[in-house]
Amino acid sequence: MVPAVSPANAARLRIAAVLVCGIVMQTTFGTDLRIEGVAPDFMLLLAVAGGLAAGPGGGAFIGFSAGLLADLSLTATPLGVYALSWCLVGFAVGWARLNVLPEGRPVQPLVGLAATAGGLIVLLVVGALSGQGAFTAAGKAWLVRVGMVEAAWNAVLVIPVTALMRRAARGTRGADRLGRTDALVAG
Amino acid sequence: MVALLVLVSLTLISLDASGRGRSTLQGVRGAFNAVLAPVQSGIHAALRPVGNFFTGAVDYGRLQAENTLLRTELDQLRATEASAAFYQQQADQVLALQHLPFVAGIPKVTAQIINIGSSNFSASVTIDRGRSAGVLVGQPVVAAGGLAGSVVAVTAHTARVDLITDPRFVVGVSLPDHNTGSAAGQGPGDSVRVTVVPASAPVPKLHRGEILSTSGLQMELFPPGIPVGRIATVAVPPGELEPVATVTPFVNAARLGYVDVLLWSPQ
Repeated sequence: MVPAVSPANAARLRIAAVLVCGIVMQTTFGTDLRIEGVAPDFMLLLAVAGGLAAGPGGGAFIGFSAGLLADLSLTATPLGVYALSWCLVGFAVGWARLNVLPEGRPVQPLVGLAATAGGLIVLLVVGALSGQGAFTAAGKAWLVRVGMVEAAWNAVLVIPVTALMRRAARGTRGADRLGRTDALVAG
Repeated sequence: MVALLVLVSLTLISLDASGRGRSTLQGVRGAFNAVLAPVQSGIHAALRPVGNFFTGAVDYGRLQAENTLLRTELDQLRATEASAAFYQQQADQVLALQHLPFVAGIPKVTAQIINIGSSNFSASVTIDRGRSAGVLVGQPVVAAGGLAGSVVAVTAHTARVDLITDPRFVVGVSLPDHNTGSAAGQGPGDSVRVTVVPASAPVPKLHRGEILSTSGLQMELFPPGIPVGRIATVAVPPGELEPVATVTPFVNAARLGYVDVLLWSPQ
């Protein structure tokens, strides 16, 4: 007899599946979507969507997992740089979603823009603290270009990806808490 | 929980950066990429047309293939020219001629690029040959135009290659007047920065358009004579004697389809 899976564990499995799809898309399709030489960052997008869908704790965990997958697929930076950066982004977006941001799709593209810019700054700081010159080697102009292109992609994709993440995270404590808060505000 | 995740991240960073746990972590990375590689290859091939469509032209794929072929031929012609220039330089330096190993005599493995890295802060590709084909970490990788990069990670059937423009990539190059330079990648883009390694030799005069090749000094990771690129700009920084040059590599990462891994190690 197959043991029943609790709603929380089922949600974790769904989130894991979304993250694995994300890293596969990032390392395959992502490079074909370059604009001005800059590829989108689907893993940062998933961290942002995780914060919006699952609150600060869930956002931090989803961001950490997304970053860890990005770390594993790269060799240029120490393992953990992206995990730490995207963990902080997921937590910050989740905290803002719980305490400041209203429910609703119109605000999500703005969150995508701001969180991407903030995420890149966090990545640069974490990279600098861990002694990595790779992030700044190409110069400020390249960083600005990366920020603009990634922010544009994330602003466009954040609505469908957040909807997907919200479905995946249904049943977790963070997502349920966000749902109750939204119901209270609406009611 | 957030504090715990931050702590785990910091532990991983310090273990990897300090080198203490690097071999274990590199093993984990290698295993992850070995699992991912076949999936990547298939999905990349399946989704390529969508990517091509995205870039704006309905017939982009065929034109791109044709363009790649033409550019490869052009690169081969340039490589021939560059090799000729290098041989001329070598003829002028009679002493070393008899003892230099040349790329032509080095066994090599031809590999297809199965994934172009999607990071915006590094320049690397994955090839479809690994340990089983004799590929090892540190081996030089060349393409039609000249030096393409070097192998930085290997699994049984794939390898990761840092390209010449990657910020971690450094190679010694021969400069005029018996000088040696250090060519370092500058991240995504198409230029390499060359600085003169201080020596007792006179300060070299670098000229725009000059072709630079690997120096192949003792224990250097690359054999001598591999064309690296052509000097695009030369400037002497304020307060310094030695010039700094930017070099446009002969190999353009965006157009790479196949590469040769030289089964070579420093003597």
